[in-house]
Amino acid sequence: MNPILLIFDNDRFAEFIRFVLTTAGLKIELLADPLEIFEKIKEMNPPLIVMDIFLKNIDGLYLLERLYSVKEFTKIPVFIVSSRNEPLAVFDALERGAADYMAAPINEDMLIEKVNKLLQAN
Amino acid sequence: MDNNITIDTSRFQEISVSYLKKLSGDKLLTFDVLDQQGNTVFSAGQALDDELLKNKSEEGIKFFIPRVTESIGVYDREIIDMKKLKAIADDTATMYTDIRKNGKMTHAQFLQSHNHLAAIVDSLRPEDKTGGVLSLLKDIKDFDYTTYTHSVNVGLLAMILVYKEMSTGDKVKLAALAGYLHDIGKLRVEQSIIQKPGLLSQDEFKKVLEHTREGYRILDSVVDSTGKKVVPNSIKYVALFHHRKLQSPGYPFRETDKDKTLENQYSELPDLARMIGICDMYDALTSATPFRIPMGVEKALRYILSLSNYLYSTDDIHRFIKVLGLSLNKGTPFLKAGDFIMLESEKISMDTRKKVRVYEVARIEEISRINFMNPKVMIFYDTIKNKKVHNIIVDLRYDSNRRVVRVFESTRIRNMLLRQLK
Repeated sequence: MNPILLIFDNDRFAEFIRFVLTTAGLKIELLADPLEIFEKIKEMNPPLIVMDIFLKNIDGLYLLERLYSVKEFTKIPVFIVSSRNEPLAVFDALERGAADYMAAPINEDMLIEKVNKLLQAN
Repeated sequence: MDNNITIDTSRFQEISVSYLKKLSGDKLLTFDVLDQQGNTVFSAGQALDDELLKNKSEEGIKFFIPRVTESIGVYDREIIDMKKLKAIADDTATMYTDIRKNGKMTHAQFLQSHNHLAAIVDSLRPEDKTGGVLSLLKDIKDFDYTTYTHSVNVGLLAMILVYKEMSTGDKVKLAALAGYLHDIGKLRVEQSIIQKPGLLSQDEFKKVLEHTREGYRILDSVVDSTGKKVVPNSIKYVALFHHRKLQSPGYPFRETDKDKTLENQYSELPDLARMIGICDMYDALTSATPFRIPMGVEKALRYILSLSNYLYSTDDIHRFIKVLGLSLNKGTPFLKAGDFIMLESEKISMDTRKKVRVYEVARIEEISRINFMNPKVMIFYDTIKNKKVHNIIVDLRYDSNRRVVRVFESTRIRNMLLRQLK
């Protein structure tokens, strides 16, 4: 299976998510510059995208919107793991097509469970 | 194939195959495309298939899409002189070509803009101002979508917004002019980038962002014969700040903003710049561009409401909707009974003694036309405690603390919420 694409630009948070998912035996690839997302997806064709919506250089919701406006990308589920817990952002992300959502503080077991579930569903 | 056009052309407009071709590929349709008899050829949500489009057009099918602006305009238009309007749009186009060539705006051109907008403001009888002007928007959109029609539209929207808030003539003219000139900096950005469909590269994106600063520079350098600067500051600030957003990185940032929260930065922006930002967004959503089919008025308003406390503050969005929501949507509220909504309210936290925002999910039970932003709702979910609460009926007319900030569109979320209700 192709690696999961991770989009995080907060180093500590990214490191944490990467650690949790790799220990669970999942193959992942981290993208630190969200603006390269389209090239990256075309290149690696990930089964799942795990991303933060509070990114520094670009608005995550906007990125999600742009991603799903491209036909061939609509089939890739996006799992939002947000570095901030804000209820409005949860619903906004789901409204824009995100498959599932988790907000900090992150429960490691739950994270792994949800990721596996999304991978199986796909 | 029967080639007679039986579709109601007052509600649907013909669209060329070449226009549709631009939409094919990786974009999803936001509108149904119909044939001349009114049968659906492509439905919304589907991607345009090049092959199918070619076959259909060879069969002699003509394509129609809903006239987006059909519901704009509350009253019959008789007072607006179409010739005058066309003249203004033509003049604007000429002026823009000139500014693009020379890279600057002359005093005469500024005065001309001022006179155009003042002519619209003055030519309307008080009782016609809103309805008449709103139908102007429709007429302008029927030309085609370019920077100059967009400018005129935003100018008109800003004008009605300020006018309906009972402001005096001068303020109305100022707002109209500020809206009209807000995108003037785009004339210094390469046309190929502005009209490019699809995704922009990082460099191109940066160039587009520059249009706010360029706009400020153009307006700042307009001087009269004695060398005095003539453009009022409020108009320059609109050009500079109309893209600043609340939660999302907007631009440009000011040096003085470094240590402030996003919310404080936003609230310190000039009033007119924030409101024209929303007018700009509304017009962009409802206008056709070569690479996007426009949103209907109702959908656009629901979308704009859902930007509260994200791109714009709840106060500003509510202000825009309360003033223009009904008239833009033909006098019908864009919220309906049965809609699932999110409510925002503020309370003082018991632990920290600070103000916190509370979000609740509710369903609209009853809605009145005049007070449609304050419906009677049933609250059933608390997003802070993240659990279902006992169904509470609240009439928002008597609860000024709770405000509607989202309306849920996706069927997936609606079904999820419906399950919660059972």
